[in-house]
Amino acid sequence: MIKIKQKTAIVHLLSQRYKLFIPTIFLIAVFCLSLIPTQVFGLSQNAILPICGGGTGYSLSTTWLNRMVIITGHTIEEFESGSYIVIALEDSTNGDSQLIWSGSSQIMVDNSTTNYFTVRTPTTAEGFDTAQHIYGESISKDSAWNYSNNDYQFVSSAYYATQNTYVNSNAGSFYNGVNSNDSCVVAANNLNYATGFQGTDYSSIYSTPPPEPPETNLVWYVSGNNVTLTGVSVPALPEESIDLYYWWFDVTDSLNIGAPDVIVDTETTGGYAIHVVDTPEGGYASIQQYSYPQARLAGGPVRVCVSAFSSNGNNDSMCEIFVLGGSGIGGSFLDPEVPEPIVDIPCGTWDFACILGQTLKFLFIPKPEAIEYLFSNTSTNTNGLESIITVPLEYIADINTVTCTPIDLPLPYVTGDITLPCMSSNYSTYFGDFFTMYQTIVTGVISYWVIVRFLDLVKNFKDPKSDTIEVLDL
Amino acid sequence: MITTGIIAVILGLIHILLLPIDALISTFLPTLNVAFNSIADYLTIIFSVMGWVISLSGIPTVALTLLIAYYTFKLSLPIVVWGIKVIINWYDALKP
Repeated sequence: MIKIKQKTAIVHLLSQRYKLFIPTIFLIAVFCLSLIPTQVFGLSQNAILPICGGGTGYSLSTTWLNRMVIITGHTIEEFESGSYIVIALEDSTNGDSQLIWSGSSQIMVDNSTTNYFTVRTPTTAEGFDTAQHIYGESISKDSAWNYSNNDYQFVSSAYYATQNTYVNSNAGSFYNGVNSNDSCVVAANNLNYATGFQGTDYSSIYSTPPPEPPETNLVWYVSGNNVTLTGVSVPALPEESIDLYYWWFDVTDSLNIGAPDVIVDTETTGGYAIHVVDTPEGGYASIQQYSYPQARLAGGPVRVCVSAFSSNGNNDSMCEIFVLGGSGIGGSFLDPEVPEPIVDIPCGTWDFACILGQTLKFLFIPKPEAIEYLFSNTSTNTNGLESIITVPLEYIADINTVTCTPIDLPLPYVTGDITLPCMSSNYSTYFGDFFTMYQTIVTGVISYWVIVRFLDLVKNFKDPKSDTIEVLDL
Repeated sequence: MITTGIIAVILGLIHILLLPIDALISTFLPTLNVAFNSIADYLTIIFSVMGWVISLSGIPTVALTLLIAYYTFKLSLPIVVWGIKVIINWYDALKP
């Protein structure tokens, strides 16, 4: 009997005759691209920021990309002990440094509510395009606050990392993914153009400002063991649109969980993020919420994620609230005029609600994540043998949500670093359809490869005599 | 999502399995524990550039997700199937 093997001709060619062909071409292409100066792409700018927390002489590695600045290389103690920082840009065309006062601003409030970190971002994309250097400047607390209150709106996200702090699957959007004991991270986005996450090319989207956000009120308060959330109305979003949407809510009656200092998005796809910025007076917080294209394209359920750090900012006092719109795209919530306990909101997709001491911890998570949550508290050991196994697995679990961070490599005897930019956006920009074709082909080949092996795996299941088993070789 | 859930389960089981061993090592062989931690730190550094490498390769997220899902399936579900087969074999052998 003649057996027909599963391998097709193309697989045979790829795997045998030309098995070195594609990697060679790929490496050559990468090498050629690497020879192109990064300034051609206009994405990578290095700078030395003199301060991160009021000190001097600290080296900040900064990257501006799609209106986001990431500041790293500092301990949280440095960050918290300082006063205020204003980010300004240096115009590469004339070398003038200019503080960016127009447009939106970002205030990050630390947990002590006494120190503030301000990042101001320009209104237009051009401001970033011409930015080559970034400078930080300390200003007084009152000045920072007054500027922000009177002249600017709080925008989008701010996040700073502390050791063992809240790191989530989408942290890459706001966080460089490195153990953050020695880093502080600030993400700033432009309100007028919604948001842009690092490593994602939104340049085409920025050409069209997003539509006006719907205005509504979110009232969220805690009374005893009851939590009330009302006033949320999430409009249905167009299926095919890749426009960025954002809207904001007002929060009244501040949460009894300490200041809602910093809100970060906790989801990767199907997500909305609500960002809360506390005020010096307390008792009032602004929540800004937006979605981003991945969420829309992923077609996941509407999700409202709220999380906050309490006054001491540790994990134990972390508060999370997840509200999941059960109706898929465009989930709706209660009538704003009728406060109802959150557990009675008829979305019906949350599983957990618990109060931890005087702090609040709500976890409303969909059922596929429930089992993950059950083990989440037991998989945080970062020591010993376990860490060797868990580190790769944790990164692999997040591989489809990981965001690219440009790599800064110091050069000996040279002032400044060499920056290796994220290339995907450059591919899209400079190769366009060819890059799309490449991705399509790669996806097809991988899909074919997976399907063939999957069917082969299933076939083995059907053999009752087969007792072979393949396990992860640790 | 399911993939990450399965990996979380695996991580939890690994934790349960290795927790006493790691506790013994950290208590009686602290230097060995430091060595293990160094390896983990090294892996963290390696994987921290994973996003950049993925961006460089241009591999779409869909393909990556497919690969991860496949390997998760391949390395986890067969254990269940194998266990069921073993139980059936035992039943066949022991049944009167």
